[in-house]
Order: sequence, then structure tokens, then C-alpha cells
Amino acid sequence: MTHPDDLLAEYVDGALAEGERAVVEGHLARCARCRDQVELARAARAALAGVGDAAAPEAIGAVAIARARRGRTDAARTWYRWGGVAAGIAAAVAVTALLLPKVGSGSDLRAASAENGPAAAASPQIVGPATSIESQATNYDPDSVTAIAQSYRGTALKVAAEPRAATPAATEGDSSGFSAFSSASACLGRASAGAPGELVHLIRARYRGTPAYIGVYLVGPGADQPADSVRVLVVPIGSCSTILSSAAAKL
Amino acid sequence: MERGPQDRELIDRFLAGDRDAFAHLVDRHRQRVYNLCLRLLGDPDDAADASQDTFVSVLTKLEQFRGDAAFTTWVHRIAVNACYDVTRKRRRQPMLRLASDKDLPDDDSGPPAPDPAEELAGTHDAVRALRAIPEEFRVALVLADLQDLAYDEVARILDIPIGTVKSRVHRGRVALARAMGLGDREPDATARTSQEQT
Repeated sequence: MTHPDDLLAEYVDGALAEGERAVVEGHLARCARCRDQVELARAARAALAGVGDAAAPEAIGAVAIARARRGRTDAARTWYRWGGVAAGIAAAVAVTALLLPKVGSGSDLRAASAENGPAAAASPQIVGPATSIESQATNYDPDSVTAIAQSYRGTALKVAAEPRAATPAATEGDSSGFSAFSSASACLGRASAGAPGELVHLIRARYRGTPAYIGVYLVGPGADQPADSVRVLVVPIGSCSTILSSAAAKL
Repeated sequence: MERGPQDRELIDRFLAGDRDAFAHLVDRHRQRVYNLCLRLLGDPDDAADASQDTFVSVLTKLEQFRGDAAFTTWVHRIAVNACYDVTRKRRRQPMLRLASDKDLPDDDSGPPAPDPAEELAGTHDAVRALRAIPEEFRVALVLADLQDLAYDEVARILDIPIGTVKSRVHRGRVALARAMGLGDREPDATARTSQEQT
């Protein structure tokens, strides 16, 4: 006996046309196997209909955008699980071994990390000093600010070979972009009583509905020492005396 | 929700240089992508990873999206492939799996708590049983019965004939019911029964 498996799904859905339904019902009258399966399929379909949606973490979008912007595929993705000690230690060891003796030599770092093959999950991403403001529609909250900090794990700072002022890029358009960048970075610096480190990303977005600048700084343990942590500061646009939120993470 | 025109408009705006448009696109699809990945992978951390991977791929490939398929179909296809990739990586990296110590106290960066709705009697069994059925059945079942996609759209997402989709959905439902402990007969027993009826 040939069983009409390709029709049974739609039969259970109640979506078969009358002619096909009659064919299936004629078969079911003669086939215990298909009768049993239809009963089971109905039970499964009913159980699945009761499965609700889980709430998606809001930071997924912000972290994905941050990863895409930096061209990363793996390094930041595991921030959710890096509460696990082992992964954090493994990453810290890998970053220390690969990066700290070599800061300032980006191509060497990429080659070193490439040679490590499967360890790429902890391979470094090299970032340079920020030179422009990135506008985002995201409405951040404390969790997503933390997510930004966490997304920089495994990151190293590429030391500028030339004075930074020589490379102003303005995503905000024309020549006003660089002055807007300078103004925003100065505002962040005033709010924190001095820039806490090297500004590597400057975002204009909202924080809990308030238009805000978000600055991402790579911070070293002391002057002229390689960065070992990241700090994110959020200040309201138009006020340089208040910090709306901040977050920090080890690199 | 009517997604087509709004997605197309946001894509056009993004390609024209409006960076904010992509964040809106993510907001529109984040929930569906995450739930697809959660039901396929069965783990919130893996689902978050695969969702991130999906949107990174979408962002980097958006210029290649020609609009031949609906944007939702395209995103689902990328998400399913991202889930396959995560599954493959987990198989290759058992130690990374062990490193995610779920017994550690929660902190601010920890994974989101499971949706309480999932704990309801019956649905929890169904969610758990999903993890026990073959992957090809699970993918078809999640897309059709949880994402409520039409069989022809599932066929386009998986790039398989629609008849194969219908067959996998039916066999997946039967396998799911059995994994939930429903039904007394083993597949072999039912096969014998049907032969006896012939």
C-alpha cells in the first residue's frame, strides 16, 4: 500500500481541497498506520501551537551592528557565555600572548592570529582611534551599553603611525563632521573629568529616549601601557556634566 | 504584520546611506530570528550567537539582496544556515560548550532567563521534544508550525521541493509526538501494521 505522506500534513492542517481530502479519508479507512500517524500529528501540532515566543535579547542588534562595523565574525559573539570563567581566562591568555608584546604592529598581529586557526574565537580585532561620529537609531539601555563593552573583548588598539589629526574622517558629511566629532569627544571627556583612555568609537544614538553620545574607550593600566580594558560612557547631547550610563569590561 | 514594502523601503534607505535604517530592520526581525534559532538550537546562548551571526551576514550581504525573494524568506534562509554553522562549531568545540558554566551566578551580562511561557505544561514537553527529533524534521517543523510559514515559503527557504517539505512536516510531527511519549507503537510496529492491512 502506498501512503499519501505528502498529503497528510495538509490533511491535519485542514487545508486540503475536497477531492484530495476524500482520497485521504478513503485511505485512512483502510490504513491503521496512517490513522495512528494522523492522530499523533494532530497532537504534536496542538502542542506546538501552545509554544509561545521567547523574548529576544535587545542587545542582539546593537552587538551585531558593532561586529559588522568592525568586520568581526567571531571574536565578540560569545559575550553571553563569557560569564563562564574558562572562556574568559582562555581569551585573556590568548589576547595577552598574541597582542601585548606586539601592539603597534597590526599586520603581524593578524598573521599571528591567523596561524592559530581554530583559536580564532579569541583572536584579536585591531581598532584605531575614532575619527568620526556614527549615528544609530538604537535606543540603548544599561544592558545594551554593557553589551557594547562586552563586544570589545579580544580587541587591541592599533597605535596611530601618524598624528591622529592628520586623518579626520567625517561620516556626518562635510567639513563640519570633524568639528562635530571634536565637540562630541570633548563633551565626553569633560563629563568624565578627562578622557579615560583612547576613544575608539563615538556613537550618536539615544539612551532611554534621550539623545546621547556614547564613547567607547580602550583603557590601559597606566600611561603608555597597552589597553587591557574597555570603558563605555554615555552622556546626554547638550550637557557635558552628566554621565547617563557607563560600563566596563576587560579586553 | 505587512513586512514587504516596509522592509524594501528600509533596505533602500540603508543602501542610500541611511545607517539608522538597518537598526530598524533588525528591530523588525529580531524577535522572529531569535525564536527560530532558539527552537532549532534549543539553547538561549547559541540562539543569541546565531541571531547575531544572522544580522551580521544580512548587513554585509544586503547589497546583494535583489528582491527576487521576500526579505523575510532571505533572512530566514540566512538564519537557518547560521544555526547550522553554530551546530557544526559546537560539534568541533566541545570544550567551549563546557566553558559555558550555567551554574555560575548570574551577572549583568548573563543570558536572558527562559520565557516563563515555555514552562507551561505541555508546551515545555514539546520544546524539549523538538531537540530529540532529527534535524531535517525539526527545521521543517519549526518553520511551518512555529514560525507559521506556508509550505511553499519553507521550500524556498530550505531550497527543497514543496512535497519534501510536506512530508518532513508530517513525519516531524509524528516523531515529535513520539518524543513526547504519545502513541504506543514503535515505527516498525506501525509499519508492520500497515503492511498487514494491505
